[in-house]
Amino acid sequence: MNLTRRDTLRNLSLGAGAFLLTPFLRQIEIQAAGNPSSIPNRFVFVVKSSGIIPDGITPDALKGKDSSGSLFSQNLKDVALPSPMRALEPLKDQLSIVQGLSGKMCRGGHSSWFGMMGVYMTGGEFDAGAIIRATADAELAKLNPAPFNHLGLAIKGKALSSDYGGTMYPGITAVGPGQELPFHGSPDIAYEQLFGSAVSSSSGSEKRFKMQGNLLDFMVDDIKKVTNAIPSSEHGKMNAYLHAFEELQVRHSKLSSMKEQVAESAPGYSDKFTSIVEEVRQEAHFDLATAALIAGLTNVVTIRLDNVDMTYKRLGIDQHNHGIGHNEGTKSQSEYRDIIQQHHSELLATMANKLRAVPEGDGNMLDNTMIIFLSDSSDNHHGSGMEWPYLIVGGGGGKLKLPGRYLRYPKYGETGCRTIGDWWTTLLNAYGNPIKYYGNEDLVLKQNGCSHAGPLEELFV
Amino acid sequence: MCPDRKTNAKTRGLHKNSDLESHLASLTAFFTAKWNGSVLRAAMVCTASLCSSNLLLAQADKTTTPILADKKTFDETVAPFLNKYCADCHGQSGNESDVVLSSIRFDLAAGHDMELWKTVLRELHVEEMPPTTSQQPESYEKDAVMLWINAELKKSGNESDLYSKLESPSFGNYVNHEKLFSGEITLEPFSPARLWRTSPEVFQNGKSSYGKAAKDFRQPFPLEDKVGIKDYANLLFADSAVVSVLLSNAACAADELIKHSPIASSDTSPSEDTLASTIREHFRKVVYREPLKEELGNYSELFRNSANTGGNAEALRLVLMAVMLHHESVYRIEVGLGDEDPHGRRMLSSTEMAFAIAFALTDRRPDAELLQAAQAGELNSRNDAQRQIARILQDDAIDKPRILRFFQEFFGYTQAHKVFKDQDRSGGFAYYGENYPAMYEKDADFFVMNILEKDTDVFGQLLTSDEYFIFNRATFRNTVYDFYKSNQEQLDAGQFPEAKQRELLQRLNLKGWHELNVKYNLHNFNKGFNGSIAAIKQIVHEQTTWMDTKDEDKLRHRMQALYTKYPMVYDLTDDEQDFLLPQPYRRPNRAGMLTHPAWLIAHSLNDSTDPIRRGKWVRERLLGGVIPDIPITVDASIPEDPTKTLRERLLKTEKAECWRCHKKMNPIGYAFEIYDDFGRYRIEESPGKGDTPSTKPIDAKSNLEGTGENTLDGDFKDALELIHRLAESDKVRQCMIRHVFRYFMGRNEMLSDSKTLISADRAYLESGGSFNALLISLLSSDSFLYRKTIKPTTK
Repeated sequence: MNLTRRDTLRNLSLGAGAFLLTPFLRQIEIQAAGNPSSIPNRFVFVVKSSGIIPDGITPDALKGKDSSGSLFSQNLKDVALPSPMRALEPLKDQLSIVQGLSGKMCRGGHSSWFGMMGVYMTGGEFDAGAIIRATADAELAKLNPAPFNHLGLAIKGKALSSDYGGTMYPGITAVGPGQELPFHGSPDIAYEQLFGSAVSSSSGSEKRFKMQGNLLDFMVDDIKKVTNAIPSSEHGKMNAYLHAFEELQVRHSKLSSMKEQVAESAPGYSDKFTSIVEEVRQEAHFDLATAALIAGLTNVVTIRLDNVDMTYKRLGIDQHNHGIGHNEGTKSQSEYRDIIQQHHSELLATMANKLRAVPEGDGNMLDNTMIIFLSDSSDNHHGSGMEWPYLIVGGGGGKLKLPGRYLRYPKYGETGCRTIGDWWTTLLNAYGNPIKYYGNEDLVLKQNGCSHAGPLEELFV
Repeated sequence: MCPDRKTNAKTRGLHKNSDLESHLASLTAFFTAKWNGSVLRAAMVCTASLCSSNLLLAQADKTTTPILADKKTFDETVAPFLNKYCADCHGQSGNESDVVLSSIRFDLAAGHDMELWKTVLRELHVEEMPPTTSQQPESYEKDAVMLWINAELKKSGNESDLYSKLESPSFGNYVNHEKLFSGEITLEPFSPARLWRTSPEVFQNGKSSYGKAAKDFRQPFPLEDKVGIKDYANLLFADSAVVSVLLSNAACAADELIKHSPIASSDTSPSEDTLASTIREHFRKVVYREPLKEELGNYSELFRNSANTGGNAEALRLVLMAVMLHHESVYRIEVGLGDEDPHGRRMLSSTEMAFAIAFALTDRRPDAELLQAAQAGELNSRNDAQRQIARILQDDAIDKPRILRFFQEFFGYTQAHKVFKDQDRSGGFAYYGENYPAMYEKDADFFVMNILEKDTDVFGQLLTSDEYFIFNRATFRNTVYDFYKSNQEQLDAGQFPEAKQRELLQRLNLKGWHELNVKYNLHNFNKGFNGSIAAIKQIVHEQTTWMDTKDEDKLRHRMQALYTKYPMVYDLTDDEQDFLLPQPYRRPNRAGMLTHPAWLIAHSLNDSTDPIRRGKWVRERLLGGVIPDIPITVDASIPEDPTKTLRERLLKTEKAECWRCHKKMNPIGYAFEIYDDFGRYRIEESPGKGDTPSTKPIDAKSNLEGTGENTLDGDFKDALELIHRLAESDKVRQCMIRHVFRYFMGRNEMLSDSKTLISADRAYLESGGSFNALLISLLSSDSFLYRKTIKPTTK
């Protein structure tokens, strides 16, 4: 049985790079346990800049439609997606569009920074500002541990910055107060870190992985030795330092033991991973994310897809996102946006299709994954926070009544209106964090008698 | 006999009476006797039967091996102790605290009554209970009970966090104030021999020694942005989060370094000397000392072993990383390397002292003079230390950010930007471009720095001065503009003599341009302002463009439209505003930092004032009071009522069980009701919102009790009267000194620090209230200069 499945998977080849999808060990583990609950919940947060215009992801048949005072819900199978989203048409049963949730407790303008997934106001035009809590993606990563608890991949750094490559801190994800998480800006380095234990990419990453073991061993020995010379009342501090390296030793050996699994899932190494063309680097990041999920290296990925400074030259666009947002250039803003949306839809569809091709439990990996496409500046280039559109692909383990639905919540200030704080509360509750309310409340709503703070109960299965 | 399962499952402690009703009913006969001595034997029998049945239940609940509770000690020692000292008040329900100990279970090891037992442990440890008016247990009795609780907690896998909590700044006040300043304590002061994690600022200032790649480094040592003093030696560890950042920094730096290393680019094995000198050079830069012979040997062994499989470049990369991960770049080690004195203490060695002094004041490694003094044997005594500290304090060219940071952390006003204030309610707060509260924090910095510069009656001035500095960004721009206009001809001709340059600095209240960004909250693109003619002209250009006016009066005295509502929190009307230096603005109805908008906002809620937090601050920071954590059973919400003021709604907290703690906070906090949650002075409050607007007069009259000082206790009419009284008090001054001690020593004071604190207080008074004199005294005290190895605490 296992062999057959393995062979099936071996012969599967999807898209560019002939992806070999064989999460063999993990499959065996799950089957051996005979327990579908051991299937992890996986999340991919795809964060675009410059806002998502609500109408841009609304099927034409549903534009302008809502039911005032209550939640408007429609099955997506009965309506055609907007043409820039056609790549997602075959995935409609696993697609959901959530509209109308407000985020006025976050900063407006070019970026809400950590506010988007942390639900509070922070930062200025160039500065990501203070981190007061772990963002929702990092909270979900804590609930779904893996060798790499959170994988951050970024095309660009901060919202208005032109930096790219290396280790990036785009100002959107944090694991705790004051603790921003790093993002990989260079796909080749990310490749080495993720798959280097099993696959040689450029020169000797496998060798480097082995040698990292030497360093960890050296540090562990060294710290143990010097601890003896330190007053015993202070051993706790040295032990904390020691344990950190011992933990890395454990990860190191775990990665070594996953070698076969990792090797089989790793994307083939190509110049895609060193390209300086933005759209190619996006593809490379999506490949890395997908493969890391399939190999079981991580369960939570956040992709900083672009930023305000980036120009989609390869799509034939002559303006950076900032210019587009300010109606500059030869085409209209909506024409530019459609071209970009089509490209983004294709990236999402490619990832979803790859996950769908991997059997898992009674279904496939996409059934247990949520790919959430969102923007750090809510509904526009200069976001207002009045509504915060979400496009979701994947079944999310069947925990929420989302797949296949178009949902529109009542407008800001109307009866029954809800917020992104309620949204992230819903996700955290559904996946194991019982928090009553996540994020800051909207005080204006509260003062006007709309006490929103709690999960979106109607989405729970 | 057994309580029902529901009750049994509830292990959260501080039981509400209803939880225990069934339990109590079955034991009425015993408990009405309140555990008095005559029924001790009955108590044993009863407790035993009650508990053994519970144990059975616990075992039935769990399939794992039962944990064996030490029932014998409970029966022989703990139960009699509770009976003797606690039962009078806590024997049954209805007592003041609602803490009921009569039914407390012995099988704590199995997880029962955990919180209740932890409460008992805490109250005994901090000597809050039994109250001083009751019979006091002998210390050996208390120790035995605490030992038992700790042991059982450990068995249950839930060791008390009490001991680590006691090391945090918020527990510093548990050391008795009167004893500390009584002069009766003859113990010789010291700090424990210790490791202290590198501070984020020291890392930031020192990272350039790691090479070019350091510009991409990430901060490995972030401090949690919490209220109060943050950098405490015993609370900070280099854990996994720290190491993951250190590793990525080290890898990044090593990648860059090996690009330029002859060893890495060569295929042949380097000689031992070449290798050693490379390692030594790197080690000196990063660890800031010479490597020991053994250390060198270890690194070169790591190189040789790795080069065999990975080649020179990879092996060198590893070695460079290993050096950068050296534990001394993570923890500074202060064990006291001097000779032991008759009190078992060791003085810091000269190098240790150089580092300790530098880190205390400057956020940097020792400067050349400190190092030179250390090497020359001129840093071995109190006098030596005093000389160096005085030098650093007097030298304006040496940046001393630690001093201002103390006041930021002590007063907590730098938390203001975190308290979100909605624009609609404020009458003009703008958030889109700027966070107003963050700018008030800078104003408050200016207020503090102005007082520190005068260095006279510093604590008194901080509490009472009405010299506020407002909107220093506009004052900067307007002053530069005015300076240009007054000297236009000369400047346009390219003439800018030194005297004129000094004049500009003076007008901006700066000693040099290095102070510019410390004092002024400038736009990012103005941060590089260097006082040159070109820079001045740039500001003038911006001023005329942004202000969108040709009116010279406006250009000199007003600010940009975006910020016009900025000064409203100081009760300034639009036509009162003038932002041409020199300031300060003297404001009526204000007294010092506690009436500064930044402090008032930092100690407020999103949409209302917060008398409890304001009162708590004064009680803990200025009066040395102790307020326990909020009990887990308390419903902390305040009822909404559009017909009542906040003070009226807070009447809820005056129920006996709440008031025990709230009486320490609320009466003080009510005094501050003369300011709204934006920090604006007010005489009435508008409790009604939306459709039901209403106003009611503010009642800020209140009284102070339990301070331990007669001149303090009594009635007052509002915060202003309260603050002036506080500013006169010896105890308040001493409490502030205790906080200065904590910040600069990185730990809570112990009774043995008594001499240090008394000398510091004296130095401050004798110098007419000089903060510098206080610092010199503290940083040359035995508490600062001596170390003593102490046994690990009970944990």
